[in-house]
Amino acid sequence: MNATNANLARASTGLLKQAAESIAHVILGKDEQIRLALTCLVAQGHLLIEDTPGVGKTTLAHTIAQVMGLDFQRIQFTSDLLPADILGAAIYNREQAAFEFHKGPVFANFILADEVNRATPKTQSALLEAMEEKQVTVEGETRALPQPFFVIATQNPVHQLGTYPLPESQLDRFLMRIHLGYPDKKAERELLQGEDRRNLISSITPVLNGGKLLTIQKQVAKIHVAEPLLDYVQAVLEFTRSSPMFDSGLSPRGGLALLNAARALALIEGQDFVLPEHIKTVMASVVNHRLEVSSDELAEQGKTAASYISESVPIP
Amino acid sequence: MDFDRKKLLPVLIGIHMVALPMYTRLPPYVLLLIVAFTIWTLLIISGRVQQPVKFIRMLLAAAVVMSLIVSYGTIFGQMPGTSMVLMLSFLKLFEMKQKSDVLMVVFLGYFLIASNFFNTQSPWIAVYVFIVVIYLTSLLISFSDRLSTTTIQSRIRLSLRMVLQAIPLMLVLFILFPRLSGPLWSLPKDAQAKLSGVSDEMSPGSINDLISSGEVAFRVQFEGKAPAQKDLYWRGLVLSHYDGRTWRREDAQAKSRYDVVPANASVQTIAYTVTLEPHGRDWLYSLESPIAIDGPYDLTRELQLVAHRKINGSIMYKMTSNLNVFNKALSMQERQKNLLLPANLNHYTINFAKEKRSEVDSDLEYINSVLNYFTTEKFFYTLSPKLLGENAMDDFLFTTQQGFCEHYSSAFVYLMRAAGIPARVVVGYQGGTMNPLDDYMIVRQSDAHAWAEVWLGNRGWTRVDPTSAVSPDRIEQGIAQAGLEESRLPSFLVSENSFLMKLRFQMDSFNYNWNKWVIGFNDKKQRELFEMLGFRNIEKSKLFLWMVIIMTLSGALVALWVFIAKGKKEKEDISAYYYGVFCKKLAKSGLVRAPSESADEFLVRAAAVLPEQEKMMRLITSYYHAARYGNSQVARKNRFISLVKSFRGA
Repeated sequence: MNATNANLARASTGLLKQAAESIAHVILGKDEQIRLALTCLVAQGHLLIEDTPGVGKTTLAHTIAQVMGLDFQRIQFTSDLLPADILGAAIYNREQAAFEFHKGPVFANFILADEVNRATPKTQSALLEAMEEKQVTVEGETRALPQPFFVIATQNPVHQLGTYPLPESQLDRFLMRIHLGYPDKKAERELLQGEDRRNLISSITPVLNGGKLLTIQKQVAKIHVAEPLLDYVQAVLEFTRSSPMFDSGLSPRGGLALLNAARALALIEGQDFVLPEHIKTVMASVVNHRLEVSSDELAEQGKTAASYISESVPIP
Repeated sequence: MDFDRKKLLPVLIGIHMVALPMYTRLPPYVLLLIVAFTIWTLLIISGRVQQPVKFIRMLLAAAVVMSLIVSYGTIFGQMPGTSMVLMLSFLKLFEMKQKSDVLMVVFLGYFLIASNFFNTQSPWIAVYVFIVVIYLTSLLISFSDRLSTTTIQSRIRLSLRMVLQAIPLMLVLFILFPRLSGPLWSLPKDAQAKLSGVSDEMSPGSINDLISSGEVAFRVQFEGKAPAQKDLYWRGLVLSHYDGRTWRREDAQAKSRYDVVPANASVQTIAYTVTLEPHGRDWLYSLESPIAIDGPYDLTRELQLVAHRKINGSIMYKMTSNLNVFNKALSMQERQKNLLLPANLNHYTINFAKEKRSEVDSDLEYINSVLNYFTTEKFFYTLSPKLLGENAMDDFLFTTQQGFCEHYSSAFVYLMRAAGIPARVVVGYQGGTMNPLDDYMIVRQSDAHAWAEVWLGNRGWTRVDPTSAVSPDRIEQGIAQAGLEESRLPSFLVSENSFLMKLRFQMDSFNYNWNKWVIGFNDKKQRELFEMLGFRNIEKSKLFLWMVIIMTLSGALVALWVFIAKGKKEKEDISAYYYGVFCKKLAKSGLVRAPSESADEFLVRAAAVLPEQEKMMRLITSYYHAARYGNSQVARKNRFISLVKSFRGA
C-alpha cells in the first residue's frame, strides 16, 4: 500500500468513525450492531436484521441512510405486495402513445425492506434477485440499479404468524444477519427521557455521500490478507464441512463473505491488514444464518454455530 | 466438566471386543459378573442409575476376586490374571470420570487383546487383534478430540492409518527380535487345558473319540514324492504295558540310544518336514523308521521320538526315515517286558493262542494264521462296538467280534504274547491327505490309528496291522473309505461338495503357510534368513543390537522429517514461532493459550492476570499482528522478535 492509499484509508477510517458516532447518537447502546451494520455496508453486502417489532430496526436503517447521505426508500412488505410494486412497471402513456417505465422503489441507494418475511416468496425473490444482480429486468429490459446499492431487510422472528420464512438459499444473499435486542437499562432510560428518535434523525447532518461511500468501498479490496489468515479461513470452511454438527458446510461464497466482512471491519478499525480477531468478530453475523445446526448438542451448551467454530478451529 | 455418560458406550463395546475371544475360556461365575456389569453399565448410560459409590465399587472388586478364587483357586497364573485384568476394566467403567480413566481402560485393552496369543496363534486371531487394535486406537483418538470435530469414519480412517504406519516397525521387530525357545514362552499349565491328540495310553474307545475330529494333527512336506498311502504309518508312541484293559507306555523311558541297521543295501530314505500342531505331550511323529532328526529331540531304543518338553506350541522339524531298517537285538529285559500279560484273565484267548501256535511251524506262519482268523471270522470294523466285559479279549475275539483299530491291535498283540512272541502296540496316525493346492500332506486327528509290532528274530521289530486284515480299505485309501458309520466321521470327510472341499484345502494351505512362516519363524529360520542375506553366525545379542539400531534410526528419521517439515514452516513464519515463545513464557504463570484463541482474546485474558505487564503484552501483540498478518512484515519482524526476547513473563 503506497502513501496515497494509506492516506485514503486513513481518511476512510476517520469518516466511518465519525459516521458511527453520529449513528450511536440516535441508536443508544448498540455500538456493536452499528459497527457490524457499517461493516456490512462498507463490504458492499446487504444486511438482515432479525428481531421483534419495536426494538429500533427501522430507526437504525433510517439513521444509517441519513448519515451516509444516501437517498432512502422504505418498502413495507405485506402479503399482497407484488414484484411490480418493488421493481416498477411499464405503464401506457396515452399522450406519447407508448409504454413508459415507472421505476419502482428499488431504484434507490438505500432500501429498507421492512418485514421482508411477510411477503410471498415470489415478491421476496424479486427483491433478492435485484440485490444479487444489482440490476433489474422488467419486460425484457435490464436496468442497472444506482450505485452504491444497499439493502437492509428486517425480519420478524419466524415463529410469528403470517410469515413466509426466507429459504436458506435466499438467506445466503445477505452478507450479515444481526439481532438488535433490547437496549440495556441505561440506554433505555435515556431513550425514555430523550427526544423522539425520528426527529433526531432529520437533525443529523450527513457525514458521507454516495460518491465518498463508493471510494471507501473500493478501499476494502486493498486491505491486505496474509497467507496464515487465508489458512485460517480455509480451516474454518473445512471445519464446517467435516464437523458432524452441521448439515452442510459453508459454501465458497460463505468463505468470501467472511473474508470481505473481515476486510471491511479492518478498514473501519483503521488497520491495513486483516487479523484473525476480525474474522472472529464478524463470524456470528456472517456464519450463523448460513449454517444449519444438525445437533441439539450446541444449543444445550448455549453455543451458536459461530461460537463453536471460533473456539474449535485453531488459529494457524 | 462431568464425564458424559453416553461416552461409556463405545468404551463398553471396546471391552467386549477385547473380551470376545476369551468368553469360551472364562468360567461361569466370571461370565455371570460380566453380564451383570454390562447390564449395569447400560443402565448408567441410559441415565436410569448413577455410577455406584466408592463403597459399592469396593464390594464389586471383592466379588471379582472371590469369583476368580472360586473358579481357579488362585488369582495368579495366565488365565486368572487376564480374567482379573478384564474384570477390572469392566469395573473401571463404574468410576469413569475423566479422559485418563478411558486411557487406562484402552491400554489394558491393548494388553488383553495381545494376551490372546498365549492361547492361540492362528491367523484368524491375528486378523481379529488387528481389528480390535484399530477400534481401540479410534477410541483414543475420539477421547483426545475434545470438541468432537471428527466423524466416526474419519477417526477409524486415522486409526487405520496409524496402525498401518506401525506395520514396518512391527516387521522389523518380528524379524530381528531374538527368538528364545526357552522359558519365556513356557506358560503356566492352564494355557493348554484343551488340546486334542493321541494320549499316552490306549483303552477301548480312546482312539475312537478322535475319529470324529477334523482337527489337524500335523502337516508334512516331503522332499520328493510322498510314499504310498499304505506305507504312511506315523509312529507316535509305543505301548508295551497292559493291565487287562488299558495299554500304557513304559513308566521309565528307556533313554538308551537306538541302534538300527539297514535291512539291505538299497537304502530307501525319505526326507520330510513335519509341522506339528501343539498337543501338550512330549512325543513327536515320524514315519518308520526314523534314522536322523534335526533338532533337540531324542530317539529312544523303541524308535520313539521324544522332545525335552511338552509340545505346547506349533513346532517344525526335519526328519529322515528309512523304511528298511531293523533293530539289531532284543535284550532279555525287553523280551520279558514285551511278553508280559496280566494274570488270570482271558483264559480262552490264551488257550486259543497256544493251540494255534502248536498247529504251525514258525512264528511267521502263526501271525498269518491269526490274521487269517480275523479275515475269515465275521469280524466287523465299526466305530460303535459293543462293550466288553472283564475278560475283554475273550469277549472281543469270540463273542462280539466287532471293534475299532485299538481292539484289533490290542487283541493281536495279546495273541502274540500268549504264544510267546514279543509284541507291542504302536499308536499314531495312518495315512494323510495331500493338499492339492499346495505341496504338502495334512494328517488329521481322524487319521489316528493303532497297530502292532512283533519281534521276529531275523527281521527285528516288524509292523503288523491287524486292522488291514479286517478292513483293507482303511489302510489302502484312508479313513473316509473304510466303510465306517458316516455320521461319526468329520463332515468334510464325507462331503460331496467339491467347492467346500476346495475352500477347506485353501484355508488349510493358508494356515500351513502361516505356521511355516510366521509361527515357525524360530531362531533357526532367523539365522538362515540372515545367512541368506550374507550375515553369517550372527549372535543373538548382535541381532538385538541391530534391532535397537534400526528402531532408533527409523525413529530419528521420522523425527528429523517432522522437524524439517516443521522448521520449513517456521522459517516462513518466524513470527509465529516467536509468538509461540511469548506464549510459552506466559504459560509459566498458568496462562495457556488455546489453539483457537486469537492473539487479542489471549491478550485480554493475560492482561486480567498480569495487569502490570499489560502495556508490554499489548505492544508485543500489535507487533505480532503486523509481523504476521501485515503487509510490510520484514521491518516489524525484528522489532517483534527482540520484544519477545526481552519479555520476562510473570
